[in-house]
Amino acid sequence: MGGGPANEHLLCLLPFPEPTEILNGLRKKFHNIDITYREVTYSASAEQRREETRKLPDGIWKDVTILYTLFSLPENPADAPHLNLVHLASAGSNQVQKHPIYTETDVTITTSSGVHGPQIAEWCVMTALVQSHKYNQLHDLQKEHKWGKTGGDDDYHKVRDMVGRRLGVLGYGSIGRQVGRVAKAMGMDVVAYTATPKDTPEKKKDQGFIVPGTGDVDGAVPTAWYSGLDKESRVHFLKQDIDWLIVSVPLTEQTTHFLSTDEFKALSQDGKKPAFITNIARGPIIDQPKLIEALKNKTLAGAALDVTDPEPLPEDSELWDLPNVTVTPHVSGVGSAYTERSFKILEENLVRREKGEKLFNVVRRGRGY
Amino acid sequence: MGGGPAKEHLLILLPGAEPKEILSALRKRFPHIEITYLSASPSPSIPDKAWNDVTILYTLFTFPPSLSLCPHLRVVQLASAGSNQIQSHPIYTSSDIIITTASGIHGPQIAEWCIMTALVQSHEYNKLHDFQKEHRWGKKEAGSDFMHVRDMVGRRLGVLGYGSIGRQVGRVGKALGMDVIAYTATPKDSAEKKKDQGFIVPGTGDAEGVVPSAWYSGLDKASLRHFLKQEIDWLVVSVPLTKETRHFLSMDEFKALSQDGTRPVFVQNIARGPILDQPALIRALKDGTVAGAALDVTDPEPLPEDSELWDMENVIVTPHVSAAGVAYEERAFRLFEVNLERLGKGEGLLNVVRRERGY
Repeated sequence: MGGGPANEHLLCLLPFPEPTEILNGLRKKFHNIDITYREVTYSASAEQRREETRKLPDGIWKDVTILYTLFSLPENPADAPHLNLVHLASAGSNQVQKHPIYTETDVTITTSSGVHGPQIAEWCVMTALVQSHKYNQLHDLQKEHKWGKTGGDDDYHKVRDMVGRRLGVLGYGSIGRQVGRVAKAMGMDVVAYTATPKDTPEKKKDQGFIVPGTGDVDGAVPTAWYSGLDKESRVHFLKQDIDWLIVSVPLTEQTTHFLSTDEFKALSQDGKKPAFITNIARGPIIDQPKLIEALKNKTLAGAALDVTDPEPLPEDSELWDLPNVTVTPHVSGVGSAYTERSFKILEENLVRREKGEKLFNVVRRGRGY
Repeated sequence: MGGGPAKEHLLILLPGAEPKEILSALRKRFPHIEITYLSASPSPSIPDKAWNDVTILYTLFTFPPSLSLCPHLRVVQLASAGSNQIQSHPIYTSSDIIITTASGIHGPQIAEWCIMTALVQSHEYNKLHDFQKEHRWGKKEAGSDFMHVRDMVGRRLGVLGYGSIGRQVGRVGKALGMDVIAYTATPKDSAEKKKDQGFIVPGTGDAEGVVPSAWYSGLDKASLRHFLKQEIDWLVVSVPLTKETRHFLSMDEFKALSQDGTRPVFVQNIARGPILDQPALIRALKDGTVAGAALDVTDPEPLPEDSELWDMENVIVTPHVSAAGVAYEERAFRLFEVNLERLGKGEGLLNVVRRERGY
């Protein structure tokens, strides 16, 4: 009889050039998996993405057992009868949640949650410090070849560092944990918020993929934990004297417009202690018009937004020019190590799969992430 | 006979507004110390007799015109980390008066400046800021231009001068997932020597010296270059300026650091301008020996308007602000309080300047 497991077929449909070294590494490690890679054109539009997918050769899906993609799924689940694992190159799974593979099948979907912590945390820290240290002013001075004023009356001499200040992490997942880790090193007090209570040491642990040397695997960083998807619990958390709030929850039905006027007021003790807010998750988590109001009336001290509602942010949005607001075009999660780490998760999951063990980062359709 | 410590006369000479709250707290805590505050700016005119009884001086850059005016002066506490500004004064050159510095308070805000400028470079923040000013959502599709951004995980931070500032940069560097290696003047070859015995802002620093994965030392060129050759991605210069460290880093050192320009390396200076041979740095930046730099200190200061450093795309220049902050004054006084306490008890003080080594 023949020996060895049946051949698996991994199809990679990703919007970047084939990472040959990584693929060869995988081929070496998993002799029973055939690996095909096709680069697809990136598009932000759902329609264009479907169009791009339709261009793929007929029958490409026939033997596929594992799919590694960002947004390219077989139009009809029946086209891919052997598909049993979809690994997404993103942390979120919103882009596939309306697709029949999500809504009508049980195909396991995993995400690349866990790869983003380091670079996104860096973006968070950078944009917070750029504001608190008045970097934009310093940059302008440099362009003018001006050695600043002396004597200390100007803005950038009144810098307040982070020691003793409080970081609130709304969504203590892998990204939140890395921001927490760095904030703690800077001397901050960190408080965490999660959907469900983490009231045992076990629950505080991060069971997902962690980039070595980063994160908070034991959940030791926060001095206090809060939880609850209802408004009361949320507002209770926001009232904890937070100086800097990171928004790092997934976008789900429950978290849409999670933060609006009432929440901004709670966060800044009714405007008495304006807080700084950072969003690296999804634009619609924040009620954007209300955010703009809160920034203009100084309920909030400032904001750093890598995600907006919608994206691209329209040219005439007031957010572009508000003082103390930094807007970047959804780049915080992008980095040269991304691909390598995302493949690493897939690799680890393939090993676990072979051993019949639980996979990392399985999307739980019931909760939406 | 009368109880309690001998009366001390403390003269505080600082620029800026009188720190009334801090002073009244000090007076409460040390009732045996008579405290006089005088403003040091713009041009202080301090009557000679104000100096006569002074036993302790707390100052930044204002000193008595002559030693003979202050025969009872026994301690000078500087509000700065460095002591260069006093080193040509008779207090330094011709007396044994104890001089102490405020080393230990600068770590947090300077480390933040270091992290900020390093990330501004690696994440190409200037480009992002330009996009924002133009209301532009990136060049092409989101993210496509920034795929080459490399985060700090697994990269090596070299701290040239593992003092209180260096330790805080190291602490944050480690949290970012970096490997940190330390350099000191003299070998720290025991657990005890690796400790930071000075003032540490709570929640920061590296009291035990556990952050670095390796330690290097030595003021001679060979030792320095040996350290620089350790595949460093990001070098922070945080040594004091002394005759040994003047022009510590010149072309040969930049070449060692970057393996002749084959390794992109980012150099930061938050110590003193003359530690870097500035013309050599400029040449190294232009010919690619050094990939980028962030300088909060230059040689001289102010940096002349026509210096090439201003316009180099991969260079950040800021006007010696990295230590400035609202917490500065409070922390400096907190440290000073520790010293007043110790003085009263006859204990050794924090941050005593050792004249023979220059810091």
